[in-house]
Amino acid sequence: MIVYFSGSARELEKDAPVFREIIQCLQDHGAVIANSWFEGAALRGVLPQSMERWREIVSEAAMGIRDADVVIVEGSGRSGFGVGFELAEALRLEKSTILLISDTERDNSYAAGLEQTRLRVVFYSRKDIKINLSRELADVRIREAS
Amino acid sequence: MKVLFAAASTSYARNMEVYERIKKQIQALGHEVYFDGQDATAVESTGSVRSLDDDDWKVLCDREVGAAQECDAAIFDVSDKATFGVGFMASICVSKGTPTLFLLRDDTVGGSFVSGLQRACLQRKSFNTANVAGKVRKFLEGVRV
Repeated sequence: MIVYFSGSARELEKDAPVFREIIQCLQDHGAVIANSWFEGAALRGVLPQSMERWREIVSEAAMGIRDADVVIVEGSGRSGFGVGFELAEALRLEKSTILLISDTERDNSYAAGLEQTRLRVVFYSRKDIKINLSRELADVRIREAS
Repeated sequence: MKVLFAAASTSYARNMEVYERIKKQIQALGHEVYFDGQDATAVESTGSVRSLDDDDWKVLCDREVGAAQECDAAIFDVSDKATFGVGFMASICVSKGTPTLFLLRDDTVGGSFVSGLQRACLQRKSFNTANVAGKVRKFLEGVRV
């Protein structure tokens, strides 16, 4: 199963531990992560500034979503433009999409209001994220197989 | 023509004068405007993010997604930290080929996902308070439905 993972790079220092747990959980389930932006960005610690590099990033994201079986989006309150853009693109392409929102940011997450056929919205806390994500991945596998 | 205008809710308080100018310019050209700030009563003057319960978010999302799907032209302020909702609506618009204008304040710095987007239907213009209405007018005059 090929998975595209989308999350905000705005506060990467703060979000990196959660993103790592999500990616580890996906890999434990045999998923292949379609995009590798996260570790590269975490290592650099700064976002690229050149327009040329951003064009490549946007293009890679479009290809990653197109090629993925499942799209996982971490869309908690502080998520930015790119995450929203990618989620809409995944839904347009009718990808099975799991939207993860932190329990603590439920009230200020635009994403919490989205309702679409191919979208599963999952509220999580740090301690149960792996359990919730595992359950959702199993459901996706059953839906895709039937 | 139906015109969608949207910006990050965190920008409303700071930019209301600019947004009113944009809204008035759209209306002055005889168009119907959907401005997502007009009902944003939950946005405090401090510029903090909206805080709503799940049902209210659903109502807001339905309305905004509907506006993005139905509009003939779209204008987004993507200066500063454009948010998830703005990205979601912009994605719907450009994927449909809707003529779309990204407005960036003159003093916007640095690269971002926004700067990497390229679509035939997408234009970018820098603006300030004094010239924003003219930029909006020029964009809308070039839109053919």
